[in-house]
Amino acid sequence: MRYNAGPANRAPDARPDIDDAFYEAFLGPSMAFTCAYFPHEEAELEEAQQAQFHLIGRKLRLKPYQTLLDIGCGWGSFVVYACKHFGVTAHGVTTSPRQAEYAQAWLKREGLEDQAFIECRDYRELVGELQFDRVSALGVMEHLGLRNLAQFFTSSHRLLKDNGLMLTQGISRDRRSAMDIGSDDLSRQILQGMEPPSLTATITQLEDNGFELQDVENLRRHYAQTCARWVAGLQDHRSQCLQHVDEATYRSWLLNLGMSSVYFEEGALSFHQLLSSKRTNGSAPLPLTREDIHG
Amino acid sequence: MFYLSADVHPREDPTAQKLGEVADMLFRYSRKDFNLRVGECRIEYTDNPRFTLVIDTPRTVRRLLLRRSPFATADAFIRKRVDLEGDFIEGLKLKNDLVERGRTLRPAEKLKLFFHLFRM
Repeated sequence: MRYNAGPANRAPDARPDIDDAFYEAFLGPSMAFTCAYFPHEEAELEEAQQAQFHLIGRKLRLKPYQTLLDIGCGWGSFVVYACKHFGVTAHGVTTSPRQAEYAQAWLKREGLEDQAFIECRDYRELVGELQFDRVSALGVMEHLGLRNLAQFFTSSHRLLKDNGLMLTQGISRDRRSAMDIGSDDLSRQILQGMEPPSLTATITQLEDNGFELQDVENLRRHYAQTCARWVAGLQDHRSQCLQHVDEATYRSWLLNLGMSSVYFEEGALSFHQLLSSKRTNGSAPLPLTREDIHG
Repeated sequence: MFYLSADVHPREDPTAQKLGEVADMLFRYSRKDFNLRVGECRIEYTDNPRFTLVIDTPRTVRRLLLRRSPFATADAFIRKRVDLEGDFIEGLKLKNDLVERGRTLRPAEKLKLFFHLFRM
């Protein structure tokens, strides 16, 4: 299935017919269905998901009262984190009504209703209506379809203020495999309709649509670890999962996430995080060095 | 401790012996830190396996090896005809060994493999 109306959620596998409690069982309290960042090999998944959100916030140089748009916000995990830890005013969009409902309830529990807003809406509908200091799209690009990549960056460009920053992260494949979608077992079995672009294609589209690339980081090994932890989560919470899905569905998830971990580890799949600003005559809203990110 | 060739149980069972020979042929160049279990037959390479590949019947082994389709293997896993006990991710990496071995099997080895599979 390809997204024609924009990304629905963090991953294509977050199927609308499956109860959120199934995802809670293996994603943990962060409900983050994207790559975690492991500060050390033994880090717990939850710690690594928090570290990833912290890294994204630092890369975006989030500051209190800045406005943030999170495209494909899923269950709202990054919106909640950014509001609580960086003091931003956030707007999240997802095309999944179920995720939007979950996220809205989460905001309410956290007392963030005045600071954040999450709605079930196509991000493109915001174009011409709103502009933001920061835009994030975590795990979105691989679900867009290669043909929609240009439109995604055109829309993002219009949604970002002139001195803004955008961070996108997603699965990518090497240039030759990315152009030959559906031709191999990996495409047919694991990606199942996703079209991860090559890093080259993403950068080309960024540049063609008025962005200047500021930073790229390959987090492939982190995603291998993340998928392995999800597998462990599924195994540890098997009986809980089976209250929401049948055995065959449970095992297909186990296999899919396990194979994804292997493919990330082997390098057949990659995962890149890209930080971009609008191409302007002036300098980008960034310091001279990266030292502040990990400092 | 790893065994270079499989230690099969029950030792007198001809099916177990054939499965052991098939496994030895397919995993000749693999790191033998795992065991296999096919129905009641145990094919063991180590006393301390990282994982055990479990297949319900010799018939499933034959079907999977003859069809050589990753979809068939995935389907067999989903239907619980194939399972992995122990380190799941390490067990999945065994697919690389099988793919690689499939490319390097000599004609005589292929013949021997088919012979064993059909007689199981």
